[in-house]
Amino acid sequence: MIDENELMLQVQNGQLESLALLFENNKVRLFNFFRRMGNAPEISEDLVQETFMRVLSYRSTFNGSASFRTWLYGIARNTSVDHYRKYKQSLDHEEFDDTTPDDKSSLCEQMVEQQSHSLFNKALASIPIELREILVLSRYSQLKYEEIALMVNCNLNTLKSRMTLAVSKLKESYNRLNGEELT
Amino acid sequence: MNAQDILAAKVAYLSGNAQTDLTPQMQQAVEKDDKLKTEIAFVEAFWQTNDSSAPEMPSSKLDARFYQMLAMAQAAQRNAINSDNDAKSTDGLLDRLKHWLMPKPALQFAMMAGIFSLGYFTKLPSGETTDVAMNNLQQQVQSLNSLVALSMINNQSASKRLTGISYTKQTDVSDQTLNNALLNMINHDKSTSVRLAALDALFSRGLNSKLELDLLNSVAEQNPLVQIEMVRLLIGFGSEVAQTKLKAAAKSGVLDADVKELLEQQIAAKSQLQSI
Repeated sequence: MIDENELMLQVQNGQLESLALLFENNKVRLFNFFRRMGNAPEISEDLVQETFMRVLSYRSTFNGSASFRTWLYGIARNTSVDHYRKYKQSLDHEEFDDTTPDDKSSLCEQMVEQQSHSLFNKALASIPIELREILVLSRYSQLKYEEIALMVNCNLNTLKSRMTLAVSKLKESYNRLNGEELT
Repeated sequence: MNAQDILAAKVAYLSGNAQTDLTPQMQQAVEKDDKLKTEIAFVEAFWQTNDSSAPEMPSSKLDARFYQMLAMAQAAQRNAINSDNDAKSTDGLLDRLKHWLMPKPALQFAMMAGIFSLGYFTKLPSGETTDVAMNNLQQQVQSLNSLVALSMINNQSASKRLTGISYTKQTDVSDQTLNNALLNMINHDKSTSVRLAALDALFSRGLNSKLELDLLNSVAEQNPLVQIEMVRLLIGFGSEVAQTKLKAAAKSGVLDADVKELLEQQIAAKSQLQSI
Protein backbone atom coordinates (compact mmCIF):
# COMPACT_ATOMS: atom_id res chain seq x y z
CA MET A 1 0.00 0.00 0.00
CA ILE A 2 1.44 3.36 -1.05
CA ASP A 3 1.60 6.06 1.61
CA GLU A 4 0.51 9.06 -0.44
CA ASN A 5 1.22 11.56 2.34
CA GLU A 6 4.80 10.31 2.48
CA LEU A 7 5.13 10.58 -1.31
CA MET A 8 3.81 14.14 -1.28
CA LEU A 9 6.28 15.08 1.45
CA GLN A 10 9.02 13.64 -0.79
CA VAL A 11 7.80 15.84 -3.65
CA GLN A 12 7.87 18.78 -1.27
CA ASN A 13 11.48 17.96 -0.38
CA GLY A 14 12.51 18.05 -4.02
CA GLN A 15 12.06 14.40 -5.07
CA LEU A 16 9.82 15.33 -7.99
CA GLU A 17 9.85 11.78 -9.39
CA SER A 18 7.50 10.79 -6.54
CA LEU A 19 4.84 12.91 -8.25
CA ALA A 20 4.70 10.28 -11.01
CA LEU A 21 3.51 7.67 -8.48
CA LEU A 22 0.88 10.03 -7.12
CA PHE A 23 -0.27 10.77 -10.68
CA GLU A 24 -0.50 7.07 -11.60
CA ASN A 25 -2.41 6.34 -8.42
CA ASN A 26 -4.96 9.11 -8.87
CA LYS A 27 -5.30 9.99 -12.56
CA VAL A 28 -8.24 7.68 -13.35
CA ARG A 29 -10.13 8.62 -10.19
CA LEU A 30 -9.55 12.32 -10.83
CA PHE A 31 -10.47 12.02 -14.50
CA ASN A 32 -13.75 10.34 -13.52
CA PHE A 33 -14.37 13.05 -10.91
CA PHE A 34 -14.16 15.72 -13.62
CA ARG A 35 -16.27 13.61 -16.00
CA ARG A 36 -18.99 13.20 -13.39
CA MET A 37 -18.89 16.94 -12.79
CA GLY A 38 -20.21 17.13 -16.36
CA ASN A 39 -17.05 17.87 -18.35
CA ALA A 40 -16.24 16.39 -21.77
CA PRO A 41 -13.34 13.85 -21.86
CA GLU A 42 -10.84 16.31 -23.43
CA ILE A 43 -11.68 19.00 -20.88
CA SER A 44 -11.46 16.46 -18.04
CA GLU A 45 -7.95 15.54 -19.19
CA ASP A 46 -6.99 19.22 -19.28
CA LEU A 47 -8.33 19.61 -15.75
CA VAL A 48 -6.37 16.58 -14.46
CA GLN A 49 -3.20 18.07 -16.01
CA GLU A 50 -3.99 21.48 -14.51
CA THR A 51 -4.58 19.89 -11.09
CA PHE A 52 -1.16 18.22 -11.12
CA MET A 53 0.45 21.47 -12.30
CA ARG A 54 -1.09 23.11 -9.24
CA VAL A 55 0.02 20.23 -6.98
CA LEU A 56 3.56 20.96 -8.14
CA SER A 57 3.23 24.72 -7.80
CA TYR A 58 1.58 24.64 -4.37
CA ARG A 59 3.60 21.71 -2.99
CA SER A 60 4.96 23.82 -0.15
CA THR A 61 1.42 24.30 1.22
CA PHE A 62 0.89 20.58 1.86
CA ASN A 63 1.40 20.05 5.60
CA GLY A 64 0.13 16.51 6.05
CA SER A 65 -2.56 17.54 8.55
CA ALA A 66 -5.23 16.29 6.13
CA SER A 67 -4.72 13.27 3.88
CA PHE A 68 -3.10 13.78 0.47
CA ARG A 69 -6.34 12.68 -1.17
CA THR A 70 -8.34 15.39 0.60
CA TRP A 71 -5.72 17.98 -0.34
CA LEU A 72 -5.68 16.74 -3.95
CA TYR A 73 -9.46 16.86 -4.28
CA GLY A 74 -9.43 20.35 -2.74
CA ILE A 75 -7.12 21.46 -5.57
CA ALA A 76 -9.17 19.54 -8.15
CA ARG A 77 -12.33 21.18 -6.89
CA ASN A 78 -10.79 24.67 -7.14
CA THR A 79 -9.55 23.85 -10.65
CA SER A 80 -13.05 22.75 -11.59
CA VAL A 81 -14.64 25.86 -10.03
CA ASP A 82 -12.16 28.16 -11.85
CA HIS A 83 -12.92 26.38 -15.11
CA TYR A 84 -16.65 26.66 -14.50
CA ARG A 85 -16.38 30.40 -13.72
CA LYS A 86 -14.24 31.05 -16.77
CA TYR A 87 -16.34 29.14 -19.24
CA LYS A 88 -19.82 29.30 -17.74
CA GLN A 89 -21.00 31.34 -20.71
CA SER A 90 -20.21 28.52 -23.09
CA LEU A 91 -20.16 25.42 -20.92
CA ASP A 92 -20.31 22.33 -22.98
CA HIS A 93 -21.72 19.67 -20.72
CA GLU A 94 -21.64 16.38 -22.42
CA GLU A 95 -24.10 13.58 -22.11
CA PHE A 96 -22.50 10.56 -20.52
CA ASP A 97 -22.01 7.60 -22.80
CA ASP A 98 -23.52 4.32 -21.85
CA THR A 99 -20.97 1.88 -20.54
CA THR A 100 -20.06 -1.26 -22.44
CA PRO A 101 -21.80 -4.34 -21.06
CA ASP A 102 -19.56 -6.87 -19.32
CA ASP A 103 -20.16 -10.59 -18.96
CA LYS A 104 -20.88 -10.68 -15.23
CA SER A 105 -24.65 -10.78 -15.44
CA SER A 106 -27.35 -11.53 -17.92
CA LEU A 107 -27.81 -9.17 -20.88
CA CYS A 108 -31.21 -8.11 -19.55
CA GLU A 109 -29.81 -7.22 -16.11
CA GLN A 110 -26.98 -5.33 -17.72
CA MET A 111 -29.33 -3.34 -19.91
CA VAL A 112 -31.52 -2.41 -16.96
CA GLU A 113 -28.45 -1.43 -14.93
CA GLN A 114 -26.99 0.54 -17.82
CA GLN A 115 -30.19 2.43 -18.37
CA SER A 116 -30.42 3.23 -14.70
CA HIS A 117 -26.75 4.25 -14.57
CA SER A 118 -27.20 6.50 -17.58
CA LEU A 119 -30.27 8.11 -16.01
CA PHE A 120 -28.41 8.71 -12.74
CA ASN A 121 -25.60 10.40 -14.68
CA LYS A 122 -28.03 12.57 -16.61
CA ALA A 123 -29.86 13.48 -13.42
CA LEU A 124 -26.56 14.27 -11.72
CA ALA A 125 -25.52 16.55 -14.58
CA SER A 126 -28.76 18.49 -14.28
CA ILE A 127 -28.62 19.45 -10.59
CA PRO A 128 -26.81 22.62 -9.37
CA ILE A 129 -23.03 22.27 -9.41
CA GLU A 130 -22.66 22.89 -5.64
CA LEU A 131 -24.94 19.95 -4.89
CA ARG A 132 -23.52 17.80 -7.68
CA GLU A 133 -19.98 18.12 -6.38
CA ILE A 134 -20.75 16.94 -2.86
CA LEU A 135 -22.65 13.94 -4.24
CA VAL A 136 -19.79 13.07 -6.60
CA LEU A 137 -17.17 13.49 -3.87
CA SER A 138 -19.14 11.26 -1.51
CA ARG A 139 -20.57 8.64 -3.87
CA TYR A 140 -17.79 8.26 -6.45
CA SER A 141 -14.64 9.69 -4.86
CA GLN A 142 -15.62 8.06 -1.56
CA LEU A 143 -14.55 10.95 0.61
CA LYS A 144 -15.84 11.24 4.16
CA TYR A 145 -18.18 14.02 5.25
CA GLU A 146 -15.43 15.59 7.36
CA GLU A 147 -13.14 15.75 4.31
CA ILE A 148 -15.83 17.20 2.05
CA ALA A 149 -16.85 19.76 4.69
CA LEU A 150 -13.23 20.90 4.91
CA MET A 151 -13.06 21.25 1.14
CA VAL A 152 -16.28 23.17 0.66
CA ASN A 153 -15.60 25.22 3.78
CA CYS A 154 -18.71 24.48 5.81
CA ASN A 155 -19.45 22.68 9.07
CA LEU A 156 -20.50 19.06 9.30
CA ASN A 157 -24.16 19.74 10.01
CA THR A 158 -24.47 22.10 7.05
CA LEU A 159 -22.88 19.47 4.85
CA LYS A 160 -25.34 16.80 6.04
CA SER A 161 -28.27 19.12 5.23
CA ARG A 162 -26.81 19.83 1.80
CA MET A 163 -26.40 16.10 1.17
CA THR A 164 -30.07 15.51 1.95
CA LEU A 165 -31.02 18.40 -0.33
CA ALA A 166 -28.73 17.07 -3.06
CA VAL A 167 -30.31 13.61 -2.86
CA SER A 168 -33.77 15.11 -3.02
CA LYS A 169 -32.86 17.25 -6.10
CA LEU A 170 -31.29 14.22 -7.73
CA LYS A 171 -34.43 12.19 -7.17
CA GLU A 172 -36.60 14.97 -8.61
CA SER A 173 -34.42 15.17 -11.68
CA TYR A 174 -34.25 11.38 -12.02
CA ASN A 175 -38.03 11.05 -11.87
CA ARG A 176 -38.47 13.82 -14.43
CA LEU A 177 -35.97 12.19 -16.81
CA ASN A 178 -37.46 8.76 -16.20
CA GLY A 179 -40.91 10.15 -17.06
CA GLU A 180 -39.50 11.68 -20.26
CA GLU A 181 -37.89 8.38 -21.22
CA LEU A 182 -41.08 6.45 -20.66
CA THR A 183 -43.21 8.84 -22.69
CA MET B 1 -37.11 11.58 14.52
CA ASN B 2 -38.51 12.83 11.22
CA ALA B 3 -38.25 11.50 7.65
CA GLN B 4 -35.35 13.83 6.80
CA ASP B 5 -33.29 12.45 9.72
CA ILE B 6 -33.96 8.88 8.62
CA LEU B 7 -33.00 9.69 5.03
CA ALA B 8 -29.82 11.45 6.22
CA ALA B 9 -28.95 8.42 8.39
CA LYS B 10 -29.40 6.10 5.39
CA VAL B 11 -27.21 8.29 3.15
CA ALA B 12 -24.55 8.47 5.89
CA TYR B 13 -24.54 4.67 6.15
CA LEU B 14 -24.40 4.09 2.39
CA SER B 15 -21.61 6.63 1.93
CA GLY B 16 -19.52 5.04 4.67
CA ASN B 17 -20.01 7.88 7.14
CA ALA B 18 -21.93 5.79 9.67
CA GLN B 19 -21.03 2.34 10.95
CA THR B 20 -24.59 1.07 11.35
CA ASP B 21 -27.64 0.94 9.13
CA LEU B 22 -31.08 2.19 10.19
CA THR B 23 -32.18 1.15 13.68
CA PRO B 24 -35.26 -1.15 14.01
CA GLN B 25 -37.26 1.90 15.15
CA MET B 26 -36.26 3.77 11.97
CA GLN B 27 -37.05 0.72 9.85
CA GLN B 28 -40.54 0.61 11.32
CA ALA B 29 -41.01 4.29 10.50
CA VAL B 30 -39.92 3.61 6.90
CA GLU B 31 -42.38 0.73 6.59
CA LYS B 32 -45.23 3.00 7.63
CA ASP B 33 -44.34 5.86 5.25
CA ASP B 34 -44.61 5.03 1.52
CA LYS B 35 -42.98 8.28 0.38
CA LEU B 36 -40.01 7.69 2.67
CA LYS B 37 -39.82 4.07 1.52
CA THR B 38 -39.49 5.26 -2.11
CA GLU B 39 -36.80 7.76 -1.14
CA ILE B 40 -34.82 5.12 0.73
CA ALA B 41 -35.09 2.78 -2.28
CA PHE B 42 -33.85 5.61 -4.52
CA VAL B 43 -30.73 6.39 -2.44
CA GLU B 44 -29.96 2.66 -2.21
CA ALA B 45 -30.20 2.39 -5.99
CA PHE B 46 -28.01 5.48 -6.49
CA TRP B 47 -25.30 4.27 -4.12
CA GLN B 48 -25.36 0.67 -5.27
CA THR B 49 -26.01 0.81 -9.02
CA ASN B 50 -23.18 -0.04 -11.35
CA ASP B 51 -20.53 -0.36 -8.64
CA SER B 52 -18.90 -3.19 -10.53
CA SER B 53 -18.46 -1.31 -13.81
CA ALA B 54 -14.94 -0.32 -14.84
CA PRO B 55 -14.16 3.39 -14.54
CA GLU B 56 -13.77 5.43 -17.71
CA MET B 57 -10.12 5.68 -18.74
CA PRO B 58 -8.36 8.86 -19.89
CA SER B 59 -6.47 8.78 -23.19
CA SER B 60 -2.71 8.18 -23.43
CA LYS B 61 -2.31 11.90 -24.28
CA LEU B 62 -2.81 12.69 -20.59
CA ASP B 63 0.19 10.53 -19.63
CA ALA B 64 2.35 12.09 -22.35
CA ARG B 65 1.47 15.61 -21.24
CA PHE B 66 2.00 14.88 -17.54
CA TYR B 67 5.41 13.28 -18.05
CA GLN B 68 6.49 16.13 -20.33
CA MET B 69 5.50 18.59 -17.60
CA LEU B 70 7.34 16.54 -14.96
CA ALA B 71 10.49 16.38 -17.10
CA MET B 72 10.39 20.17 -17.51
CA ALA B 73 9.93 20.67 -13.77
CA GLN B 74 12.88 18.35 -13.06
CA ALA B 75 15.03 20.22 -15.58
CA ALA B 76 14.06 23.55 -13.97
CA GLN B 77 14.95 22.11 -10.57
CA ARG B 78 18.37 20.92 -11.81
CA ASN B 79 19.06 24.37 -13.28
CA ALA B 80 18.09 26.03 -10.01
CA ILE B 81 20.36 23.68 -7.99
CA ASN B 82 23.31 24.28 -10.34
CA SER B 83 22.78 28.02 -10.15
CA ASP B 84 22.61 27.87 -6.32
CA ASN B 85 25.89 25.97 -6.22
CA ASP B 86 27.54 28.61 -8.41
CA ALA B 87 26.25 31.37 -6.17
CA LYS B 88 27.38 29.53 -3.01
CA SER B 89 30.92 29.05 -4.32
CA THR B 90 31.12 32.79 -5.11
CA ASP B 91 29.75 33.62 -1.65
CA GLY B 92 32.31 31.30 0.01
CA LEU B 93 35.18 32.98 -1.75
CA LEU B 94 33.90 36.43 -0.77
CA ASP B 95 33.53 35.33 2.87
CA ARG B 96 37.11 34.08 2.98
CA LEU B 97 38.36 37.32 1.42
CA LYS B 98 36.36 39.36 3.92
CA HIS B 99 37.88 37.53 6.92
CA TRP B 100 41.35 37.86 5.48
CA LEU B 101 40.97 41.53 4.67
CA MET B 102 39.22 42.60 7.87
CA PRO B 103 40.75 40.97 10.93
CA LYS B 104 39.69 43.78 13.33
CA PRO B 105 36.59 46.01 13.40
CA ALA B 106 38.84 49.05 13.96
CA LEU B 107 40.19 48.64 10.48
CA GLN B 108 36.78 48.47 8.83
CA PHE B 109 36.38 52.19 8.26
CA ALA B 110 39.85 52.49 6.75
CA MET B 111 39.23 49.41 4.61
CA MET B 112 35.89 50.76 3.34
CA ALA B 113 37.47 54.09 2.48
CA GLY B 114 40.28 52.25 0.71
CA ILE B 115 37.90 50.09 -1.33
CA PHE B 116 35.78 53.13 -2.18
CA SER B 117 38.83 55.05 -3.40
CA LEU B 118 40.11 52.05 -5.33
CA GLY B 119 36.73 51.64 -6.98
CA TYR B 120 36.50 55.33 -7.75
CA PHE B 121 39.92 55.56 -9.37
CA THR B 122 40.06 52.27 -11.17
CA LYS B 123 36.33 52.02 -12.08
CA LEU B 124 36.41 48.28 -11.55
CA PRO B 125 33.19 46.45 -12.46
CA SER B 126 31.22 45.91 -9.26
CA GLY B 127 28.21 43.91 -8.14
CA GLU B 128 29.26 40.60 -9.67
CA THR B 129 27.46 38.64 -6.96
CA THR B 130 24.29 40.57 -7.71
CA ASP B 131 24.74 39.72 -11.39
CA VAL B 132 25.07 36.00 -10.57
CA ALA B 133 21.97 36.09 -8.37
CA MET B 134 20.09 38.01 -11.05
CA ASN B 135 21.14 35.50 -13.70
CA ASN B 136 20.00 32.64 -11.48
CA LEU B 137 16.67 34.32 -10.94
CA GLN B 138 16.25 34.95 -14.66
CA GLN B 139 17.08 31.30 -15.40
CA GLN B 140 14.49 30.12 -12.90
CA VAL B 141 11.84 32.43 -14.34
CA GLN B 142 12.67 31.25 -17.86
CA SER B 143 12.44 27.59 -16.80
CA LEU B 144 9.04 28.26 -15.27
CA ASN B 145 7.92 30.10 -18.40
CA SER B 146 9.06 27.11 -20.48
CA LEU B 147 7.10 24.80 -18.21
CA VAL B 148 3.94 26.88 -18.52
CA ALA B 149 4.40 27.30 -22.29
CA LEU B 150 4.92 23.58 -22.83
CA SER B 151 1.94 22.68 -20.72
CA MET B 152 -0.30 25.15 -22.56
CA ILE B 153 0.78 24.24 -26.07
CA ASN B 154 -0.27 20.68 -25.30
CA ASN B 155 -3.72 21.80 -24.25
CA GLN B 156 -6.83 20.52 -26.01
CA SER B 157 -8.20 24.02 -26.46
CA ALA B 158 -6.86 25.97 -29.45
CA SER B 159 -7.05 29.31 -27.62
CA LYS B 160 -4.92 27.92 -24.78
CA ARG B 161 -2.42 26.57 -27.31
CA LEU B 162 -2.20 30.07 -28.83
CA THR B 163 -1.58 31.52 -25.36
CA GLY B 164 1.11 28.87 -24.88
CA ILE B 165 2.76 29.96 -28.13
CA SER B 166 2.86 33.56 -26.94
CA TYR B 167 4.49 32.33 -23.69
CA THR B 168 7.32 30.80 -25.73
CA LYS B 169 8.40 34.36 -26.54
CA GLN B 170 9.43 34.78 -22.89
CA THR B 171 11.60 31.67 -22.83
CA ASP B 172 15.16 30.77 -23.67
CA VAL B 173 15.38 30.59 -27.48
CA SER B 174 17.88 27.73 -27.29
CA ASP B 175 15.38 25.50 -25.49
CA GLN B 176 15.22 22.56 -27.91
CA THR B 177 12.23 20.93 -26.22
CA LEU B 178 10.16 24.03 -26.95
CA ASN B 179 11.55 24.40 -30.48
CA ASN B 180 10.63 20.78 -31.22
CA ALA B 181 7.19 21.26 -29.66
CA LEU B 182 6.61 24.28 -31.94
CA LEU B 183 7.78 22.32 -34.97
CA ASN B 184 5.45 19.51 -34.00
CA MET B 185 2.57 22.00 -33.85
CA ILE B 186 3.42 23.42 -37.27
CA ASN B 187 3.27 19.91 -38.70
CA HIS B 188 0.40 18.36 -36.79
CA ASP B 189 -1.89 20.91 -35.14
CA LYS B 190 -5.47 20.64 -36.36
CA SER B 191 -5.94 24.43 -36.32
CA THR B 192 -4.37 26.49 -39.13
CA SER B 193 -4.27 29.59 -36.92
CA VAL B 194 -2.24 27.69 -34.34
CA ARG B 195 0.10 26.37 -37.07
CA LEU B 196 0.67 29.92 -38.36
CA ALA B 197 1.29 31.30 -34.87
CA ALA B 198 3.73 28.47 -34.12
CA LEU B 199 5.56 29.15 -37.38
CA ASP B 200 5.91 32.83 -36.52
CA ALA B 201 7.11 31.99 -32.99
CA LEU B 202 9.68 29.50 -34.30
CA PHE B 203 11.10 32.08 -36.70
CA SER B 204 11.23 34.75 -34.03
CA ARG B 205 13.31 32.35 -31.89
CA GLY B 206 15.87 32.03 -34.69
CA LEU B 207 16.10 29.08 -37.02
CA ASN B 208 19.04 26.68 -36.99
CA SER B 209 19.90 24.53 -40.04
CA LYS B 210 18.26 21.40 -38.60
CA LEU B 211 14.96 23.15 -37.87
CA GLU B 212 15.08 24.81 -41.27
CA LEU B 213 15.54 21.42 -42.95
CA ASP B 214 12.69 19.90 -40.91
CA LEU B 215 10.43 22.77 -41.97
CA LEU B 216 11.41 22.41 -45.63
CA ASN B 217 10.64 18.70 -45.49
CA SER B 218 7.15 19.44 -44.21
CA VAL B 219 6.23 22.07 -46.83
CA ALA B 220 4.56 19.52 -49.10
CA GLU B 221 2.27 18.33 -46.27
CA GLN B 222 0.97 21.80 -45.41
CA ASN B 223 -2.19 23.53 -46.57
CA PRO B 224 -1.74 26.55 -48.95
CA LEU B 225 -2.12 29.13 -46.15
CA VAL B 226 0.71 27.62 -44.13
CA GLN B 227 2.76 27.10 -47.30
CA ILE B 228 2.44 30.83 -48.14
CA GLU B 229 3.69 31.84 -44.69
CA MET B 230 6.49 29.28 -44.87
CA VAL B 231 7.63 30.59 -48.26
CA ARG B 232 7.52 34.20 -47.06
CA LEU B 233 9.55 33.47 -43.95
CA LEU B 234 11.98 30.97 -45.48
CA ILE B 235 12.80 33.20 -48.44
CA GLY B 236 12.96 36.30 -46.25
CA PHE B 237 15.01 34.90 -43.38
CA GLY B 238 16.17 31.45 -44.43
CA SER B 239 19.43 30.28 -46.01
CA GLU B 240 20.34 29.70 -49.67
CA VAL B 241 19.56 26.00 -49.12
CA ALA B 242 15.97 26.95 -48.28
CA GLN B 243 15.64 28.87 -51.54
CA THR B 244 17.05 25.98 -53.59
CA LYS B 245 14.85 23.41 -51.89
CA LEU B 246 11.72 25.54 -52.33
CA LYS B 247 12.47 26.01 -56.02
CA ALA B 248 12.82 22.23 -56.34
CA ALA B 249 9.53 21.74 -54.51
CA ALA B 250 7.81 24.19 -56.90
CA LYS B 251 9.23 22.36 -59.91
CA SER B 252 8.06 18.97 -58.65
CA GLY B 253 4.52 20.34 -58.28
CA VAL B 254 4.07 19.87 -54.53
CA LEU B 255 3.34 23.57 -54.07
CA ASP B 256 -0.07 25.06 -54.76
CA ALA B 257 -0.17 27.25 -57.95
CA ASP B 258 -0.66 30.48 -55.94
CA VAL B 259 2.14 29.53 -53.57
CA LYS B 260 4.40 28.85 -56.55
CA GLU B 261 3.63 32.33 -57.94
CA LEU B 262 4.34 33.92 -54.56
CA LEU B 263 7.62 32.02 -54.33
CA GLU B 264 8.75 33.41 -57.68
CA GLN B 265 7.80 36.94 -56.59
CA GLN B 266 9.62 36.59 -53.26
CA ILE B 267 12.77 35.26 -54.92
CA ALA B 268 12.71 38.07 -57.49
CA ALA B 269 12.20 40.70 -54.78
CA LYS B 270 15.04 39.27 -52.72
CA SER B 271 17.52 39.22 -55.62
CA GLN B 272 16.50 42.80 -56.51
CA LEU B 273 17.25 43.86 -52.91
CA GLN B 274 20.59 42.04 -52.98
CA SER B 275 21.61 43.74 -56.25
CA ILE B 276 20.99 47.17 -54.65
